[in-house]
Amino acid sequence: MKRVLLGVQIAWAFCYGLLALFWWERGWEPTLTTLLVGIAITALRRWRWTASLQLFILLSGAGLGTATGLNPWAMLGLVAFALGAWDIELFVRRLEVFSETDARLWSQHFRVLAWVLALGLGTGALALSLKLSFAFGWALLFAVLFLIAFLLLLRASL
Amino acid sequence: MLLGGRRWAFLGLLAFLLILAGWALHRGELLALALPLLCYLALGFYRPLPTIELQAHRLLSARQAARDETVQVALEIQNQHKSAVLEIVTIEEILPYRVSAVTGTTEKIVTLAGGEQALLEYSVSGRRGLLRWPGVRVSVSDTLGLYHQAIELSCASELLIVPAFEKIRALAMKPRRTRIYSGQVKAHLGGPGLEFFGVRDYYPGDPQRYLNWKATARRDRPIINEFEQERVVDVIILLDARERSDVITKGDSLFEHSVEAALALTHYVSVQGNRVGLLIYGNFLNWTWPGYGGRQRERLLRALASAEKGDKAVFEDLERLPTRLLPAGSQLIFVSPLRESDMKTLLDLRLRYEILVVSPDPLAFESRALLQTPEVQLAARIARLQRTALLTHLRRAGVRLLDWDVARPLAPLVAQELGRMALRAAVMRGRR
Repeated sequence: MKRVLLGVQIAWAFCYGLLALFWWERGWEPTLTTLLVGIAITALRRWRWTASLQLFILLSGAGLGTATGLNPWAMLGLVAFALGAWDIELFVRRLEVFSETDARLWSQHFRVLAWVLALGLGTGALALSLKLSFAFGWALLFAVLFLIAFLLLLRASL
Repeated sequence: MLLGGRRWAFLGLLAFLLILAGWALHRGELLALALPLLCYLALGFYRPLPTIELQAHRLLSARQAARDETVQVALEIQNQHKSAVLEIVTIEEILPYRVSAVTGTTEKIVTLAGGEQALLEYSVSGRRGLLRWPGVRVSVSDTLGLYHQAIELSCASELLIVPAFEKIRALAMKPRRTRIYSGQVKAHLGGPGLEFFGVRDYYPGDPQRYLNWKATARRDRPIINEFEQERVVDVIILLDARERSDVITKGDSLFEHSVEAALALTHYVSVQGNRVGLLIYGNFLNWTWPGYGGRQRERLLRALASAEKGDKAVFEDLERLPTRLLPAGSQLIFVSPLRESDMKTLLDLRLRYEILVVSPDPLAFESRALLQTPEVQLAARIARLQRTALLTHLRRAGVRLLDWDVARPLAPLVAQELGRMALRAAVMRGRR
């Protein structure tokens, strides 16, 4: 389990490194900020919520980068990578309190996560490749549908 | 831990923020960034938790154990559903609060396929008490942690931990009444028995082998020997479980010694065939009706093993002792460190019952744990004088008493102080 946790740490470092690398196009300040934020959060690793904070920061960085014209493909990869690291870290933290764990827990989790990431990257890649234009009414309809679907999901889970 | 609804909310919020930003900035690429998150939620949505049909079964290697004896516990959780796979099942055993040591694991995380079962093995030990396992806490979730359901499976088990107690060899009782069945307490009545009681005229039907030939020759009519009848008696054990009577030192409590003494006395008088009842006075009136035999002994054992202290104001002194429950003329055995305020009630009771007090010495118990400074020694001396005065007062009132230093074994002291010889000496003193 410690090895997986170390792998997750490396994955987070890789995410920050990747983000910093792409921000290099905008000068040294955003790069340095990204690296400093990464180091600061890594120092707070004692708490479980830091994983969620890291995901939030990386997603914000990726979103900001995409909005300011950084390579969207790289940012999509970064989001997927960060999501995977976040999920595995929470999973490991869930299991680490137990002295022994079933090997099937790991295999089924990695299998499902692989599906999620493949699907996410696939649909993301498709979305980046296809360019559609539709009227504001359609966009509004999609937004309402998304909101309803999301509320249904939330209700189902609660 | 971010599980269930929180995880939905967190990921949903991130995705929503990305979509909102994309819409506000007119950047379609931002919508694409939200897609991995949405896929995570969508996959979770299509993989909800199946019906949870779990059954728990706990097996203990023994139902009754001695103090600090290790008892093995095996807990089986079975997925009763034929086909549903429960991806993550967290099993957490709810241990009784009196368990003092546990080896092995009481928590486990597993995957349970249809019909599969998980086994949790550990061992427990304790000092005393009736350990009750209320149930098992189980939580089931999917592997992504988007659904989470916590349940408590009922699976009650009991383990009685009986403290070690000494086997008392001799205890003489002299209650005011005896019961009709033959036993081991002298009834002050002539009849069948072992010890010589007196002589009387011979009546037809009396066994001729008991003819007292010397007395017959002297009185010129047939005289027969009579023996003292031995019968069973009513014995009530009163255990003082008041918090204020107790003395607690590092890791030890005088109450535990009182319980052990009460157990030893209960066992002795019950094995002798007497009708024994028990009143634990402190937390509440924990009353066990008097009875005979092995089943009653088991009842008394359970009551004493699970005795708890209490500090109810209503039981501050012995005035609330429910004397109507105590059979008339019975032998009372009071196990208590004794307090000054108990004196009046004990003296009142002495008018109606024979009382025997086994008093674990709180002063000796406490002073062993204290640093012997001059102040402590002086205080101990004053307290000792007070206690001696209290005990002397009770002895003068006819209460037979054992001042027990708990560091010494109880059985020889009981034989010495409360045995037959001591009783005879007390009777002689009383006649004088």
